[in-house]
Amino acid sequence: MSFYFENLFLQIFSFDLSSIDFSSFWPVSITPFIGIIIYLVRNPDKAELWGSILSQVLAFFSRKAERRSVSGNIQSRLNSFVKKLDFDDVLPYGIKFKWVTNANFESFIENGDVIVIMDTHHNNARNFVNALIAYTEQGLLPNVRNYIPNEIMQATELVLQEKIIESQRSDALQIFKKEILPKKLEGELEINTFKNVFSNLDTKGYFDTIFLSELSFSGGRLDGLLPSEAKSHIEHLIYFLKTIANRKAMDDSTPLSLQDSIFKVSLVLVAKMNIISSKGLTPYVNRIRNAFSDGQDSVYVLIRKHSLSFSDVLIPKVSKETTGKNVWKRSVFTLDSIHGRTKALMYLFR
Amino acid sequence: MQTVPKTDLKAVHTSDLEEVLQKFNQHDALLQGNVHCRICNNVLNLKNIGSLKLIDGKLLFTCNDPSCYGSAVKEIKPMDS
Repeated sequence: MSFYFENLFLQIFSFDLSSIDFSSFWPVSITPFIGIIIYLVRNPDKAELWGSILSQVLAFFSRKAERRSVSGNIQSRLNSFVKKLDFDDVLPYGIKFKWVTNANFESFIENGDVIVIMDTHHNNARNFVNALIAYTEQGLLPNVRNYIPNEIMQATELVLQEKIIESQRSDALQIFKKEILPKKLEGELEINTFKNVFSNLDTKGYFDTIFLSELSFSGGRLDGLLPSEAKSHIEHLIYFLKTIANRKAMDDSTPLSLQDSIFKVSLVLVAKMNIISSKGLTPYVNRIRNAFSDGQDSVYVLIRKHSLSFSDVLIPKVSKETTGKNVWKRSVFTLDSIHGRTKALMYLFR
Repeated sequence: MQTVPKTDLKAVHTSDLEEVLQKFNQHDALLQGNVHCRICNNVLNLKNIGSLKLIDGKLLFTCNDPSCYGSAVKEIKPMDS
């Protein structure tokens, strides 16, 4: 018997490892794994979401894992939206939970601190809505929100909250629409009116791109004004965008420039093939150049689907031949009566 | 890799809530129906608390009604920029 084991031992340990060609299976087995690690390192929000899913499995055994399954899930979704939106001054911060317990209460909490209650991960849709409400209260337009009248700010928050829920946690939409919105809008005619206008702007692609962008860029100039004056200036911006959003196709009479003393915005719509084919891109470049020489701060160039091929020529030409600098480029959806919901590109020059 | 600065949200998980309430001697009062929402005065229980606020060593509460909760989170201190 001992001879048998001795022989087996010798057979195993005399096996020459150098005879194995590792290179034949190494790339197959390890490459996807490395790829996944690189992806998760480059996308911490996705890593956090997977972390929260794993924590759900352990949540039954550990309170820490249960907390993590709640916070990781919310943080990953919200931070992913902030990253995608990529408007520095509109939503400059992500969110990070600080879990307060009996043990750390004194070290975490100061006089005047507000602490929100979060339910178990089984209720994560509702947790998401509650965390989002607290987050937008702090994170949306933090530099200018004090200058924006309450009813406009509240309507802005509601539209953005709904947009975030739709994109990141659609199973929470019912909670938001049936429980939160009716309570927030009850007896609040003005907030409701602003909310409807902002929702329409969002459908047409002008809400976060132009409205929120302009509030963050020019909102600081409202400092020191009476609330009624501040409101009047913001209403000029809202009316300007609302009129453009509701304009009929082929209508050339709607003003595409707002020359308010606070908000100085122009919109250039690149859509008409007959102008491009007969006069080239020069009329658009001239319009943008004139807008800046007239003192406009921001010129938004919207290029609809059927004209997208011209963007490669138009945008460098505008950068070269006008004083405007291209600040960002966004893919947006617009809606008009002729083409329905179509893809478009929007460029901001300042 | 793009990183975004984060704003802190201080939160108590419901599984830790009873211990925190006991620390401030509010647990029994809550179970007896003697704790109220500081905004709507609604009677609170372990299921309908929306937020806590520490004022001079005492815990103040709001319920989870959207109006009361919404008012409470407006009082969260802004992030230092």
